[in-house]
Amino acid sequence: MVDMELTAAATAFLNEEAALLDDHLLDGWLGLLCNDVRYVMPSTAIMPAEAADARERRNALRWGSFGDDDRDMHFWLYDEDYSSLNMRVRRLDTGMAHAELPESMTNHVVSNVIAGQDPLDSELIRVRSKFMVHVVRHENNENTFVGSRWDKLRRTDDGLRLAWRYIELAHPVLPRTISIFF
Amino acid sequence: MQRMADYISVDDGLVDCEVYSAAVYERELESVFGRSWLFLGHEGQLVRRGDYVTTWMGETPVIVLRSMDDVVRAYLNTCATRQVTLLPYDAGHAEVIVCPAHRLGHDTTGSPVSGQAVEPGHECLVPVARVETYGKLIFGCLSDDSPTLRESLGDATWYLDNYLLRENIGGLQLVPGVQRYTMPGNWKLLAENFAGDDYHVAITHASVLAVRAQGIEPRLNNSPGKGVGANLSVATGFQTGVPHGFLEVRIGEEFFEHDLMRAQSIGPEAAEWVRTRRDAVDQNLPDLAVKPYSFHVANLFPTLSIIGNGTSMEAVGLLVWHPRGPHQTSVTQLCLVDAGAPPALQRQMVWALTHQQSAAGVFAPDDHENFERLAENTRTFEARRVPFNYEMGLSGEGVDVRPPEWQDPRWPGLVLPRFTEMIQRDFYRYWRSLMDR
Ligand SMILES: [Fe+2]
Repeated sequence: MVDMELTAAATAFLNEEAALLDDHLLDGWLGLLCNDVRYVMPSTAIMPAEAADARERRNALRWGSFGDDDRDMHFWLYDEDYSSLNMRVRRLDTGMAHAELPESMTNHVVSNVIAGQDPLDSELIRVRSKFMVHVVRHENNENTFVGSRWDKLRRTDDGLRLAWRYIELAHPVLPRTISIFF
Repeated sequence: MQRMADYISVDDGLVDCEVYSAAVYERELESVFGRSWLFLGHEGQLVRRGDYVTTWMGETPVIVLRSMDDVVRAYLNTCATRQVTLLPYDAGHAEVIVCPAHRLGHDTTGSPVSGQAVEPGHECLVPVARVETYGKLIFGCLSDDSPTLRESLGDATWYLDNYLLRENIGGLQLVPGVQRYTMPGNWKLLAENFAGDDYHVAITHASVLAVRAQGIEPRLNNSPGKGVGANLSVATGFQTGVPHGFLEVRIGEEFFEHDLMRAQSIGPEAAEWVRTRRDAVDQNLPDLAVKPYSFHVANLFPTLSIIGNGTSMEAVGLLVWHPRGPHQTSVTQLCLVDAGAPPALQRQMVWALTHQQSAAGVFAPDDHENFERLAENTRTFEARRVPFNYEMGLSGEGVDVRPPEWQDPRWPGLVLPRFTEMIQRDFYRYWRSLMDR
């Protein structure tokens, strides 16, 4: 599935996105999202090895295929569409969102990018990446979030835009509550 | 060690920072967590025989399971011979529990089945002294001689039966997905925040109220707003038993009408469910002239907090505060919805909890910030000279604020103004009595 040209284009997109997040230019970040974006992050559990069919279902979910479970309920950390992400950004904009006063110092380091054509939709490319996000609050509260992402980027007249993101954190117990984006 | 009575003056509403110190912490693990009923999980996590989850009682790792003879049981998740962790998973299915160090195996009822022969009484698997359930909520107690779960819950059961569990209309259903996250601060501060601090909401969470007012996200607009109906607080066990606090106990048709309006925008079945939920309370309590519509937030002493329950538009969050040293707490959070509600309404409920009081919601990180800013500061020498102030409402101590026409012996609990620190004072009173016992 790896395509060198698409990988270069996806890497440029993800780096631009990371810069917007680290610079707290969240309206710019919203501008990189499709109107029908889905942005999801389940919690991470330590579970016994999955049977092959369960592993396959999880892999399909990572790429946005809910299958028959589409309407199953789940309690996820992020379960977002454009409207809810916009709500979160507007909240931070009120100037009263304690959790980001002062704004967290973040460094999104993105790596291990693998991109290729989506097999089902000619407009989409599929991108896997790893990230480390270092968060500093106040003088000495430092945490690092580590995880993987499964993204689908859509080719549009304005360039690539994020249509789907599935985030898997490597933290069975989160090091802190979350008021940033990955 | 000094008596906690030297550090806590309930009559003055003053609590010395010493109660958040490392020395006190070591003792409360035994005196409070070793003697209280602690929430272990929901029966929805243990559907089949052999299903288990792992959690903690204080700092002690435990296994909670449905045994092969269909009983909810709990064991320490450590082998008695070397304290090796037995089950390394958050949840799973096991018909035999085998110690990885010496391979001593036990069945789910605790009997040895394989490995090295042991003398009776030297089994590797140690049961939690007592396990009881209340409306599918599973609790455990590490002590044999503290009061029963029912006695400990006391009048709180009236609020749980009518306004949380609602078993007469199908009860609660667990939503898959458990959140676990770290919060700064001593566990007591997190627990009493849910038990009795409605005052911080408009200040700490002002950004959420502001964004609701913008009306840009209807799924977030779950309460009818300011100046509507009555929002009260309730203390149960006040000065006599185990203290449980209930916040935003809502009285007035407006709360129902707002739920109904929101539900109508989801669909006719959702609206019908909102009526069913209201009628269920009316059927349970037909003779009460005035009765609450709901409560929104609560804490059952010591460490089970409840939120999201005040409207039909939000799922119930059950949060457990596991102590991790004097200045850190590990949170386990479950999400439950009305089992009988239509799927579209259930999805709204989950959306509202996920986006509000959950690890990446718009409320919890703001609470995190408060506790992060205070946790380290309580260590300083100077802080010890300035006790925490819990004197709000001191002049009305123990006074029920119900007007005469609301009074009814069938409606238990001490009903208080919305903003008071009486519940927190009672929390520390009872905690002190466990410590000085
Ligand atoms: Fe709060």
